Amino acid sequence: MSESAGHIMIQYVGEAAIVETLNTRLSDEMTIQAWSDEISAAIDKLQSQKRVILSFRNVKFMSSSALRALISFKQKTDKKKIALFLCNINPTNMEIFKITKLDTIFRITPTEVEAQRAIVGSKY
Amino acid sequence: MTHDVNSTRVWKLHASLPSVSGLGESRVDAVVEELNARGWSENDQFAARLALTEALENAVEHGNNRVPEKNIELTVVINDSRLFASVSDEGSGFRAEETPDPTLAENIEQISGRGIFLIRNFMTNVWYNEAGNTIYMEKIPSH
Repeated sequence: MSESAGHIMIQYVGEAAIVETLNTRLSDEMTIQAWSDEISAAIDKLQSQKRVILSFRNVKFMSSSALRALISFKQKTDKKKIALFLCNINPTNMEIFKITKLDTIFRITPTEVEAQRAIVGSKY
Repeated sequence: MTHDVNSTRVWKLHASLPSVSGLGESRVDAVVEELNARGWSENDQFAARLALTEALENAVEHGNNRVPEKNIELTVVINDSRLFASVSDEGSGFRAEETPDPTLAENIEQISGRGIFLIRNFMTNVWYNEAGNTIYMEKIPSH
């Protein structure tokens, strides 16, 4: 089953919701607010013990404003005991995660395949 | 806005922008397009895009408190050896050295506070005017 909104497409695979961001850029406030609202709404719909995989295959550029939203998703999913994974982050965007050390607090996998595998056995 | 290509060697851009998020994007695109034409690597183009975007967004949000009537001045000069950029706002300024390190354990999950840190890490040199409401950035490409 899949759903789409203006900025994301959600595919449900087993217990995981794979959320593909459709934007190529996540940098201006208006876009990030709309994108963030859609992801937050999707997280709100999920029950405890579900897993969310955020895929950034299409995203060529993200700024620190996108990182802010990601941290709020982490806080939200931690509270609901939902496992959050990030994947398909391109090498240049990945540098942002490494430099800010956010790669140490997010579970980041190369693709959604590894994220789904990593899900097995993860508590939440 | 004025957008002049003075010669094949030096490229200049100056823009006065209202304090609205994202309004500088087309100017940043023009800068990156010029860097691409000059053969800058993808990483260096990304660094310039990130630093300019962060500086502009900081000026909108923290400098001019999102008051659209307040202007942001963007200047970019590219020559054969480097990119120089400045972003000024109408705010009272801040002291960059007092911004906390977002990579410390106590700050790592803070929602904000990474823009300046990213600019410092992706540009070669970064400095400010005395008032703290103009940031100057220089990028020397790695190739």
